Amino acid sequence: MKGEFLLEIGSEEIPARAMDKALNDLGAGFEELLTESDLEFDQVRTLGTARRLVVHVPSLTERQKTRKVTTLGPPNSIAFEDGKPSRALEGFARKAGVGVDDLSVFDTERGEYMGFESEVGGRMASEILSEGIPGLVRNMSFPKMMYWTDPGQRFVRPIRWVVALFDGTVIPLELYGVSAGTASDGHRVLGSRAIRVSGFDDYLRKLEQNYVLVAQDARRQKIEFELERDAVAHGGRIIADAALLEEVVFINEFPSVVAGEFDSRFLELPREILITVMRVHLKYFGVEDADGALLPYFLAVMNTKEDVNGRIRKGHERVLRARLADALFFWEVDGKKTLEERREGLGTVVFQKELGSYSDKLARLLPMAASIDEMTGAGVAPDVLADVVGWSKSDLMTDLVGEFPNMQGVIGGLLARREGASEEVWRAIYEQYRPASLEDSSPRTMGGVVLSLADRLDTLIGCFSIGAVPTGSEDPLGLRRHTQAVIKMLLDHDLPFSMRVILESDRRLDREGQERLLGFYEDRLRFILGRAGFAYDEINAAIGAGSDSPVDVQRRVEALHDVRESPDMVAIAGAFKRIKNILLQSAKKGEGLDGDTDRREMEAEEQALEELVDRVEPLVAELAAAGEYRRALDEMAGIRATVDAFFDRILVMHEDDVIRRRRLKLLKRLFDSFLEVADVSEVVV
Amino acid sequence: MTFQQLMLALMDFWGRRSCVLQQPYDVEVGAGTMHPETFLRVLGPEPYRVAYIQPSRRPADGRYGDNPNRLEKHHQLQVILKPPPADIQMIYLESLTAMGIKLEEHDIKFEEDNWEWPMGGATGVGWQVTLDGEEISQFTYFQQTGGLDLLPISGEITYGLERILMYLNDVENVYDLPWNEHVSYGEIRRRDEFEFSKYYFELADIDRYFRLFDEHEAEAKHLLDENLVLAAYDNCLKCSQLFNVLDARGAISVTERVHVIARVRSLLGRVARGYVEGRLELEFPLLDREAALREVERARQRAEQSSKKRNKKRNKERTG
Repeated sequence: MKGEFLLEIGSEEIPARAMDKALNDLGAGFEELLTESDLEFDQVRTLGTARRLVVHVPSLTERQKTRKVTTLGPPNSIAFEDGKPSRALEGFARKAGVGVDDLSVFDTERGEYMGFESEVGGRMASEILSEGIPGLVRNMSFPKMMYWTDPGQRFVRPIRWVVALFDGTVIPLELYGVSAGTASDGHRVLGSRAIRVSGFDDYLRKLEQNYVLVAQDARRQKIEFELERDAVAHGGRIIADAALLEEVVFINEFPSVVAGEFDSRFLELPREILITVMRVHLKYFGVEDADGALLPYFLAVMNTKEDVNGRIRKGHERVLRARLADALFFWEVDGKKTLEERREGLGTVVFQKELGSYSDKLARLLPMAASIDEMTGAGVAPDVLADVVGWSKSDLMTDLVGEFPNMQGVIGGLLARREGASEEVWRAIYEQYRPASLEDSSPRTMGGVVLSLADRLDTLIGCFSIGAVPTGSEDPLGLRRHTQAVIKMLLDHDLPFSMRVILESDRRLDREGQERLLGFYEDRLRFILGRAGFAYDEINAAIGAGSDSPVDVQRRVEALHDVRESPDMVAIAGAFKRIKNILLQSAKKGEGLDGDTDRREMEAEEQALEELVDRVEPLVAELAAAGEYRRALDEMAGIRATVDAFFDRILVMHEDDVIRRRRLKLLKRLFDSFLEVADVSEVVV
Repeated sequence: MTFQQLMLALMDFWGRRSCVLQQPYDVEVGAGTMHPETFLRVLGPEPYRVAYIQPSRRPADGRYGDNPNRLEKHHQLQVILKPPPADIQMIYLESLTAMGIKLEEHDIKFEEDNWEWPMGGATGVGWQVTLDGEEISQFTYFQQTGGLDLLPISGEITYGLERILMYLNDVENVYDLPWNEHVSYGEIRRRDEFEFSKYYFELADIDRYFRLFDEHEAEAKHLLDENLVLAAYDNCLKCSQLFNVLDARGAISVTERVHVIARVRSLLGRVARGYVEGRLELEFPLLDREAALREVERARQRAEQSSKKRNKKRNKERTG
């Protein structure tokens, strides 16, 4: 017997941004529950709006499958004494709750055993679900959780009703103190309360009658259709925005699109500002013409069936008008002074109490940017770089940035463009805060890259110099994010770089501080490489050979990743671990490698290794310097036979000091040579 | 609708739903949440329902009376329902009807907006409510106040009265709102907007403000040592207002900010704990007797447990 299963968790409005993950988690949890419980089903669908999380299984078996299970007792050999059941056998039967007569002999790999067969499973699906669902829902996680009655029970928002039906019958269960029933709830304003439903089709139909489109796909389609319709009606096309679309799909239970208009004088505002006002603040879509020019219309998604008397459109227009009027006022006022003039005011804006003002920061950025430009070969002309850096922070003094802090940089770039700065200059200012995250893209202009690198490195070094170092989850100044952005930019643009040289020339950190910062930076590098799919031991091996330049580290880790599975490489990794241990032990004993050696008792295998090291050492150095890490690794793998023979025949820790020293020195040379490519002893084999 | 009709309609609505109708607090505050009828009443186990209008000062939002939308001082109507009933959102929607809004003709949304007042050690989860795109209310389930977890939690509803009335009357300039049939909002309030903007942005003496901050902080500590939490709380509110003015002037850097906030937060934490202890001493008079005695017993057990823990720790430290 198969039946249909429906669960609706009725909640107060769940944040739209959390919905997608919530539905996925719920669906996956359900499939796991059904599979683990041996309940056959065709598929698990999840649907939902901000006010409901819904699971639908069209065809679910009524009963768990049954399985035969064998329970074994004592071996046959000790099961009977004088033809009577032994104490061991009787004890087993008693514990298992079966009679001795029910036991029989089972032939197993380990011999004959006494035991019995029984059937397990066969429990009702509704029983399993009523036990399993509460735990599954309790284990869901959201970006921000709350409690409403019991501090031990958290969810994203209060749960207010639950529908749980198997084939039309209520599954008895309780979620956060709310008992499941058959009653759902309609649209807050247009729908009824306590809507009785008997099954999934009935549920969908009745909710639609009560102005709830439960299926997100249905809502998305309705929104997309109406957006298109209204954009075309106004002679344009919608400015697509997938993230915004998902947000309005989940905020609204019965979405409809309403088109509004704004005064065309606001089109004086740069597109970026207009779209930010519409999108970020009001969740409106913009409309553009065939050439991509903004039109003075917007499309709002409302949570109701229609705008009966035009008040909704008027309301949205009012809100947008007030916002745009503010923005336009700021845009005009902010143009009254040039970025160069505004720069003077930066002395009064504190960057960090101990690190001075933004004026002080600019003074540091100029030389830093110049040396980064040189080091990376970015090739930004000095006069361009001077303008880019010099005007980069002036927008902090504008009202627009006060109003739209997230547009810092973008606004500076737009103001520079209006002042007539060259594209190279304004774009660099415009994109200086990119990448905002690892998902964001790096600046496209080299000016933007150099400025962004200099700015972030200055912040990083400055914060380390005053001890403002991230601990645990605390990173109020976003130093992890900044460091990741630095690494990402260097990798994206394939730029040569040396963190040590930067730290040396900055001079603010002493040796200890530099090491601490390098450790922090290596952690971020590890994180980024790990995210790119490299194994932690590959990353450790590559970083073991130095982390100064992310591009170099990436090349090394790629080369290592390609060859690590080859048998020679596996053997070399083992040999290197051995070499590293020997060297560590001798160092621990305080044995120096300094001192004379001679060629006494030089055996063939030692001689062979020496010749090999003489040949390979310069070759590996040359290949590493040229970034030819793959070939260097091939060379390294090629020495396997010689190294194996050496370790088979030669005792390194010879009792004679001179011989021992000679052999240790040879191994050290080999180790150091290969360390330019990777610390292969880190590779887990 | 006039400004005072709006106030009366909402106060009447909530008065009929068992709220104590309170008056604004007589110390300057930045938001209705800082009124002791919210900050203190949400603490501890006693149920409470209250509504009041609170003029709220935001020095940084002052615009000398020139901006049609921004005010240094605006009016919040604040409602606390402790504990929140299960249908609190529907009751809220009814309150919109009481203002003459026909719900089915509008686009009403509850959009995620969580609330935090770092100085007050307070956090909550909730929404902003929008009416045809205009944000008309904040709706928050309090989770913590003064650094203490709340049980029961409170539901807080805050109406921005000026903004709502501008929408209802389709008025684009706040100063054009009718306060009553005879006098406009601008006639009553415009001059104070000018004077206080000038004061906060130009004349407030920064050094004196820092000194006053120190003085009120010291006074609050002194009062806390004497277990007078209400008077200590007033002094914390003074600190908060002084901080807001200094902040509006850009006189506080990012790092200082964190530090100054932490100073007031620790005072407000002591106020919160002291208030709950005071209510415990009174045996939670707003609870029915049986529940009150249960809570008193529970508090006694908690105190015992934590003193045991302390002793254990102390012994461990001694032996270790």
